[in-house]
Amino acid sequence: METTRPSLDPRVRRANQRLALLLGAVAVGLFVLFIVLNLK
Amino acid sequence: MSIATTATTAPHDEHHGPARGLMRWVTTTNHKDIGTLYLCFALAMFFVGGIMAMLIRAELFEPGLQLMQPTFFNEMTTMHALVMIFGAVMPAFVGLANWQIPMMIGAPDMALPRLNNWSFWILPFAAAMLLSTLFMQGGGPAGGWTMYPPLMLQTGEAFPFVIFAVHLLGISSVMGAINIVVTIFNMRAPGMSMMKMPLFVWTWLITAFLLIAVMPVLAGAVTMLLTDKFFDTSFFNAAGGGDPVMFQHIFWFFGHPEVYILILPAFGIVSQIIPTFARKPLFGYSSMVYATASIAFLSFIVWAHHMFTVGMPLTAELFFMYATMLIAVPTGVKVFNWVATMWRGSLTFETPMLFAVAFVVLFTIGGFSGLMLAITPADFQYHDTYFVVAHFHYVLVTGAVFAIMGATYYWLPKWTGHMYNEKLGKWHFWLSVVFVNVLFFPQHFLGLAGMPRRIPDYAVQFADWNMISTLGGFAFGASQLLFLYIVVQSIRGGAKATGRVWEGARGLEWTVPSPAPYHTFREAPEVH
Repeated sequence: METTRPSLDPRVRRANQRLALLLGAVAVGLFVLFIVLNLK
Repeated sequence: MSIATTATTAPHDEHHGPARGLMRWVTTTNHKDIGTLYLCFALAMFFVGGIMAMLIRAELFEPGLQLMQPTFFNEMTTMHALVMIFGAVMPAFVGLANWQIPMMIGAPDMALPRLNNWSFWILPFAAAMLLSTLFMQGGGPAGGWTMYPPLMLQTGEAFPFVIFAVHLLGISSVMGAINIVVTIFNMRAPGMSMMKMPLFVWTWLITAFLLIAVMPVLAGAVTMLLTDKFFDTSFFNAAGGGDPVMFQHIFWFFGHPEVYILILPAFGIVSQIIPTFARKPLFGYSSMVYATASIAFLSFIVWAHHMFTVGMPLTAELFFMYATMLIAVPTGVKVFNWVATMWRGSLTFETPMLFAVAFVVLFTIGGFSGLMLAITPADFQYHDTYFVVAHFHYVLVTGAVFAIMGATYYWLPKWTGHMYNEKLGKWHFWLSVVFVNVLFFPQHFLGLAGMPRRIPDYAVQFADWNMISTLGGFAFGASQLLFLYIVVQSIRGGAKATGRVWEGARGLEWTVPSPAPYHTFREAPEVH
């Protein structure tokens, strides 16, 4: 469909993916943490 | 503020435009298309939430039950808040971020375009699910947007759908926030150091971190509500050894940063508009950045000021009171800097500037009433009254919504390539600013006199101000149809906008033509 976006340098793309995964992991970790903290 | 020195678009843009038809919008990974989708969705939700507000005000026009059953009234107050917060204001800011951040930092697109598409397309389904609960057995959620148990647990068939909708809205927000953080960290043009970034980008970066930090907390809280309801856990069930007040703590640990998620991007917008129309650089740029970061930090340690009356140790009440008051310091820095930017500037008052100046004045009124509410012993009097309703509507309507409208007028020529109708824009502003005060200012008096919030009926001594407030509400609501007309008119045609659009505009987004080409900054611009 839309194929003409300038492609990113693969190093930048990998850096983007790593940072996104890290932030996603932080979000999921906080979700789990707040439930675990409330377990008795 | 940064200045671009090189050309910004590739020479073959016309050959690489968007796909045609509906699939363009479904499959798009272009930040401008996705920004447009977010903004259109937000505008639609603004009117849906607005209709609910009109129903609320119509019922409150005079004492007694006029138009609806109390349960439906409660559903309206709950859904109005959820729709306006998660459906209108937050998506509008994400739409503005999608359109502007890549162009402001010299990036060709958002860092994660497919994630971007997914972030948006979750939203209409989540909103549809949320709104569909109004038609379910037992009605929609009616316990307020704060979803306090045990009241929330009395919701009928709608309950799991509301929880799932909140989860989806949260996932969408977190994915959008991750995209914004990664874009700002990794995709800036050479020379665009952090301290050269436009304030809108800075405020959004900080907002995105807030979103990543607190949306999972909300998700955790509503998940525990869900297990309490369906899996016999007792997180918030006192009979099972749980604590319903704990939900309030967790909710507001999310809820107060959420308030700043709704206002920090507005600070960024106003910090872009005022220097443009004062024809001066922003006064105190670095102090604006540090003030924004301070506000974000403080937002994590003030949550219990929403629940002073629930019962807390005196030490805790004092701590939350003083911490809340401390927020006035960085906020004061911001207001001072906006005024100092205007001071001896070469001011003109086009519609975006009118909205920005109104923001500074009226948001400050909302801030002051917030300070009044921060005083613990006084809050025992104001708590759950219309004074609180007046306070947060000054912050969110004359604050966040006015900033979004100002931003729309400011950047619309860049998006559409056409100038909007300035005369109609000014009409829209003046009608809005007059009637929003007729709508909300009397609610201060009602609250101080003791009128509780979230009630469909009230004692007769509150009748006069409620009548005036409702008339203001209808007029304010009708005025927004003019906004819709002006935006549609600008999309369809009008005087051609120049690339720079505004005489005093500075920054990379103004170096590209208007309308902005489908792809911008294929080659990174040089920034000094």
